[in-house]
Amino acid sequence: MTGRISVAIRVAGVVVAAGYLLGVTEGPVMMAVGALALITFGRGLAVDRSHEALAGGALAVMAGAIGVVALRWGSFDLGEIRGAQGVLGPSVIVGPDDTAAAVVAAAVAGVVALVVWLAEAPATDGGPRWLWPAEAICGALALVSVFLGPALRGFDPVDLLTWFVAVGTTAAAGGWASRLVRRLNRGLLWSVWAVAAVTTIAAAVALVALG
Amino acid sequence: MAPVLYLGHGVLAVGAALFLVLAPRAVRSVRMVALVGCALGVALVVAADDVGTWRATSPAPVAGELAGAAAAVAWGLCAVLSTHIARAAIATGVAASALVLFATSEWVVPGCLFLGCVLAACGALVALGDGRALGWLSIAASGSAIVAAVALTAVDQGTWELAVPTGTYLGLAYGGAIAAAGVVPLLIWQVAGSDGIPVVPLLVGLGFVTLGKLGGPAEPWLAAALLVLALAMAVGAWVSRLSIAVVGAWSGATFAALSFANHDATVVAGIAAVLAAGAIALWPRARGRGRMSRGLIASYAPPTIAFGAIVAAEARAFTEATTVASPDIAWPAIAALLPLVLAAGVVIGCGMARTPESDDFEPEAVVATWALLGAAMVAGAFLQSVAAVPAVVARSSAPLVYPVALGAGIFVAARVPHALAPVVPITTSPSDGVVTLHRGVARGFVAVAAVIALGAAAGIGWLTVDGLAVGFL
Repeated sequence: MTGRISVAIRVAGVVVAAGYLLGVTEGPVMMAVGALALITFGRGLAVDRSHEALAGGALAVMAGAIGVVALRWGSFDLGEIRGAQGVLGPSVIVGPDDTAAAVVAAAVAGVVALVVWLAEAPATDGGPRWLWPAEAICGALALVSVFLGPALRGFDPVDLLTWFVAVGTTAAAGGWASRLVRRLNRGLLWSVWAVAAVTTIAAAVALVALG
Repeated sequence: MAPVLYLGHGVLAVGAALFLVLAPRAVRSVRMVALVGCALGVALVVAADDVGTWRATSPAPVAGELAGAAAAVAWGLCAVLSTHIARAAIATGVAASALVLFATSEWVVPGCLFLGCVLAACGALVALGDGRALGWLSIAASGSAIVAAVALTAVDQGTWELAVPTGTYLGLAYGGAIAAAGVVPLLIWQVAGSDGIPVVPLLVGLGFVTLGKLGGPAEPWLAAALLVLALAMAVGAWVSRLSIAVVGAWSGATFAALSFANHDATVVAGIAAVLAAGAIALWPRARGRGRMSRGLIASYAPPTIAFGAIVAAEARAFTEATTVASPDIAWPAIAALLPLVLAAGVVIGCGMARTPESDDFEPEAVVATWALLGAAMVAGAFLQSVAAVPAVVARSSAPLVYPVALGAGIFVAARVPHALAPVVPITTSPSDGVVTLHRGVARGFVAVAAVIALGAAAGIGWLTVDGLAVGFL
């Protein structure tokens, strides 16, 4: 029964995340983080406590990285963050240089956290085969939406292609890297997470200091 | 409508007293009385904005909703009991009515008298179960601090109105509210699982009613300190293999912090705290069942109301950190700590949901735990209808997406072959966190609690006599 509930909660999390990140439902950027939290909770029912703890830590770093972008644009609303990027360009390249560098650092930390988060998922025979890739796409979509540009801003083919490639590449690269990372010992994995966490905090502090 | 919603709990207490005298074994009848009380509490949550002025009370949307929620959960927990249920119902009814009247009270003398009634009834509830020494100490310490803050503010300002304290008195009120909210692991959580469990949501509710009624604007440093404390408690809960006392304190610290971060979110945080307190208090009675519901309530994951409280606090912290010219450094700290708190909630909630336990549960407690989860989800999905929250949260179209997500989850899970769904066996079992005190130490705590309670009673008495002397009453 716990296994089925685990799958149900993970699927519900994917649907909620997709709803927010594709712009079907609107709300604060924290809602996307909440959907990822729901997925993490569902997975946690099927892994042991050390894996769950690291997955929770990775979730916090992803949330922090997304928060850095919110801090950069001065908006807590996902729609407004998309709108700002639609006008000015992706968060990672819009200057000043110091600010862009801080955002790039947060983006790298976010992707590393995504890799760790995916690596801590239960074995793939724990549910439908498409569930883990769907979770990878949701995580990638969250990061791409806030770091690289608006999701589904319109029907401009170049925009759509760029968006698909960015999400697909991040999800595929993250998934592939997570398979490699699984082979690392736990201490090393925690160290990777710690570096990502420190980088995110440093990026946030830098943005606050830069005003 | 006000007399029914305010005094109905007291009338139900009289009904329970009649059952105790005339039909001491009529457990089901008293259970029905408790369920009516639960419905009355829910009605107050829904109607708190519309209740008009009545005698010495005035509409108090925030405190009224919180008191209603605490009363509803306390009655729900009372309905679970099989022994001492009539006695518990009497005390719960008195405490619920008094709490509601304190929450809506306009004047200091009746307010203090009602507060005294809440504390006395809570003390009677603790007497029905285990963990009496620390339970009484918890009630006496938190209650007397709130009484002192209210009474001294009135004396200091020379007013009979129940005014918002300032300076030291505000600190006293905050201290009492934090203690009542269950932030200290070894106090009220010792009562969990015993026949006195309705006291847990009542006392936690009193803490948040105090914050809603007497609290000033946001206190970012206090919020940040409580968030750090909550994270320390989360680590403690994880290390201590989910000691119930530590999990309860972690929950109390988190929700108190959310209220201090965003005073407008006190209703949401308070309702979430009361629901979580109810689930944690029921835990020892529902061992082996209802793990998933307990875990989801404790996880802060959407769509529970706890997630709404976190979002509301995050929105306020973020706004303060980005729009004010030179923001208090506590605001960015709160904004950074809240995602960690959310992640910690997911980890603790998972642990609670996944850890196998011995099957010594009571079916009523399991049903009540699931009912608490249902209430947390309904309140969370329809957040804007029960509380004033920031526009950025209220504008969210969450109520639309969650039913679809739930349907999709159930649809897919129903098609997963059972053998493919892994369950990882965990060999640990959560601890009660109950401290067995040496008899001498327990007596010492009881004596300290008695002295504090007598002091509070003397203060209330003096204020009442003073009020009578000037013809206030």
